[in-house]
Amino acid sequence: MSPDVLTSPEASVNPLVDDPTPASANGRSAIERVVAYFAALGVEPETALRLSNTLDQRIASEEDEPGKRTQLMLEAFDRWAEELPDAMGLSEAADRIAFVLATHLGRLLNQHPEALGDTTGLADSIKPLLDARPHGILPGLPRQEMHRQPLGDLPAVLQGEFWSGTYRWVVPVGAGTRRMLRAAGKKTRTDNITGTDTPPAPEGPPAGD
Amino acid sequence: MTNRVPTSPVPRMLRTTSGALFSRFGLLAATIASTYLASYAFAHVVFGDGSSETSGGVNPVTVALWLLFCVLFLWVAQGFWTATIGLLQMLRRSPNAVFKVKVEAEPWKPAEELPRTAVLMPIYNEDSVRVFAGVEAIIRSIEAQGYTAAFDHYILSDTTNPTVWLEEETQLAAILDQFEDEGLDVNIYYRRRHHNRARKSGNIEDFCERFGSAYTFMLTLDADSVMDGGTIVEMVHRAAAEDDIGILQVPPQPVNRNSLFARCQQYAASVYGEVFNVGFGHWTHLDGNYYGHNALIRVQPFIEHCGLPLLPGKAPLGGEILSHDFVEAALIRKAGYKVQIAFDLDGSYEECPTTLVDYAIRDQRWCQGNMQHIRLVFTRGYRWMSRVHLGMGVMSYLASPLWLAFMLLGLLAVVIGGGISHDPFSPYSPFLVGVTLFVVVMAMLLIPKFYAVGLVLQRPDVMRAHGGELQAVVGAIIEVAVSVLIAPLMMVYHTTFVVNTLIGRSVKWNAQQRDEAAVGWPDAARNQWKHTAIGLASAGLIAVVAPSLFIWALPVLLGLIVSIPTSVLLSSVGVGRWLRNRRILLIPEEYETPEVLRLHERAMHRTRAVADAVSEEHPMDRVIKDPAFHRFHLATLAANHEPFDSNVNLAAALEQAKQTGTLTPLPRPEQIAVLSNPHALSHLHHAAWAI
Repeated sequence: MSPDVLTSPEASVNPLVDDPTPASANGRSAIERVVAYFAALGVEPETALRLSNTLDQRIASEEDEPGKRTQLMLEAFDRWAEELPDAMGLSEAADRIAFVLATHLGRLLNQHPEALGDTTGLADSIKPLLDARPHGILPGLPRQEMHRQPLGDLPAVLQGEFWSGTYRWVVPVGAGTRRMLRAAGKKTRTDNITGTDTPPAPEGPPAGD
Repeated sequence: MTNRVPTSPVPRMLRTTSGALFSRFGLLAATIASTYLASYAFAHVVFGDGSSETSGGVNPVTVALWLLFCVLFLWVAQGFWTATIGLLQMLRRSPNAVFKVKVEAEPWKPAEELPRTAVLMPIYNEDSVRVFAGVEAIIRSIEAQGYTAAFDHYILSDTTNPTVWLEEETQLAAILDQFEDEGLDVNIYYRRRHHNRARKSGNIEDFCERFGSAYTFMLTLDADSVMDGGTIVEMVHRAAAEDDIGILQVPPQPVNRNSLFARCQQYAASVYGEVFNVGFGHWTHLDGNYYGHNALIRVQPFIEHCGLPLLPGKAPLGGEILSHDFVEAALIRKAGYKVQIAFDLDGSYEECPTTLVDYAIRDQRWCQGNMQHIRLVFTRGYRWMSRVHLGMGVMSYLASPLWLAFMLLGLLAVVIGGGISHDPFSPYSPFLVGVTLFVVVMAMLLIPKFYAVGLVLQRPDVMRAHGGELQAVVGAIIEVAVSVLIAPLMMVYHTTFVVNTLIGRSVKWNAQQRDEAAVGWPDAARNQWKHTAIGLASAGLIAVVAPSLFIWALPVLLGLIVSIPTSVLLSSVGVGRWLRNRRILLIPEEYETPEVLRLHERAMHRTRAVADAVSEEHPMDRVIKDPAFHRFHLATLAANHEPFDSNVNLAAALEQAKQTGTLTPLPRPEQIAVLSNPHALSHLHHAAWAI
């Protein structure tokens, strides 16, 4: 990128110095925007510029709308990050590498500005970090099923129609009374309460405790 | 009982099974005998003595009244005798006791020989500042014992609020960074379930299924739990020493709150809780109970035996079991494993509701959960002691409508009977016997508190830790006064909850309000005006139909009538702090703050600073715009390996988010759908930087 762009008065935001959060400054080029992105990651200005230029060269020159070009460059960067585990020969540690990049990417890019082209140095820096703890990666362990226990029967004396009938009466009485009043004397329909051990489809309040 | 968990070697209490059986027999005999005597006397009151001019006689009202009295007195008596057992046990443990309790010391094993334990923090839309402060305090406390290697820490999130979800991830990233910078070699894991199936029990179940195979034990916590590392390590040692301990529960002590209501709860737990816990722990012995948190559980038996059954019928009495803890204890006991309450261990803390309304909200969901246990009390296969626990859980809420029914029937009986006897003070008159019984019931409710205060005053160090001799007594008086004042309110609340549950009205289980916020007069009026109205109406009714009962009903009526100012006063942090500054309602944890609570306080500063550092930007904007946080969020999504499915129109949600540049205007399901989809979120992220 030419120095003219960096010092261009049209640029309402200086991507190398100012607040790195994205601003709606339409005069910025794609490279300036991507430099701001890397700055937000903690990448030093020269390295950010180098990385942005590298990404810029990977995008077809026909796409010259800055916003679209920026998106393509960032997508290319994300693809590079996603392919990094395979490039390192550590595809089984992809989750772990993703976490390392999430917390150390800026520092790693500062150490290895050539990383977009040659990942060797970056990989060497990442490998010791894979064993550092805490890392937050959920362990992959054999799954065990935890089955519902059978409910168990009630004693015979409580299985009679009297108790299940009582239960059936008590539970819907509020709702039944309201319906009865609304229907002005119509017979209340009974709810689907079996009073037995047959479990219906579970219902209940959606929130947890 | 010591106030600190001593370091290795740790003395252990040996209680023989025969001692517990003796306690149970003693408790049963004393409860039945005292209930029999009281019921006999009450029969004299309610059915009359045949010679008075106004005799109740035997009619449906008096029979129902008598039956209710029997049930309610039984309930009061078991509490009294449990506390009495606790008193006797605590006196035995005094250095001057005639009967010494045998103790056995055993050194702790090195960390690498200790069975691996997972420390679980299930959370649901909680304050991440507090949650992660608790996690950090526990980690550091375990580290101070030198046992970091034996424990892994899981934050199990069921959070449905996307903003809170992202706040959790913010705190997670910070705590991972913090410990990595310090070089602390600890495993901290975060897992958020996309679907909150079966609530907290389902959350724990998910952990057991996905990760349980790696652990011998799991320590379940609540979002506001803090436990001392020494206590945790001791729990693991005890459970590891006996293969058949299924659950080891340490009763939690409420701490860290300042409203008058919270301070009364903290004080009551500290002063009275000890004598009740010792008594309860003694007669339950290896048939103890599980309170849902601050407990160590043996993982494999839990997986094999504690999958909760579905109850027949519809919610709230049917369907998924809501209060899972009692049932899990019953199931693991049914499988032959012990459930033990370690009443001799300290270092287990929680936070309590700070206002009457928050307390009632919590009670409402517990009530619904406990009412479900009615079915299980009678279910075949459970041990008798488990049925006792389930039944006590039911009764703890059912007692209120029964008390209300008792009072209403008493009023009706007096009206039907034409008032009190012409000569109430004649020997053995129903009136005098009734007064005596009232005094006996009040004594049985209050004497355990005298036990507890007496035990505090007997031990100079404990007395100092509760503020001193005068302050300890004044604190007890204030606590009793508050309890008497709010008892009628809680009776009305519990009655409402029980009736709602029985007629099928479900309660929505929202995240518990854990912050301290005083209740203003408008809010108090809105919450309590019905109680005031009930009190005034009842006072008027009694004054008209049964004026002889008015003075007896006054404590209940007064509690209801003044419920609005009571609510305001009890929620006052200023009053609570004023009392604390004068060492009234002081608890030992405030007199000499345990190290783990100091760690917690320091951790709160750190987590609060983390939250403040990013407070200027909404988390949903930050996850789109901040490259590091965006990448971290995607990494946690990928590491979870849990598929997400939704009926949301993701394309439309994405388009709307692109147009506005933010997720915040979207409805919650759309927000969650976008946040759960790495491609959609990355698209927004790139678009944000392309502007």
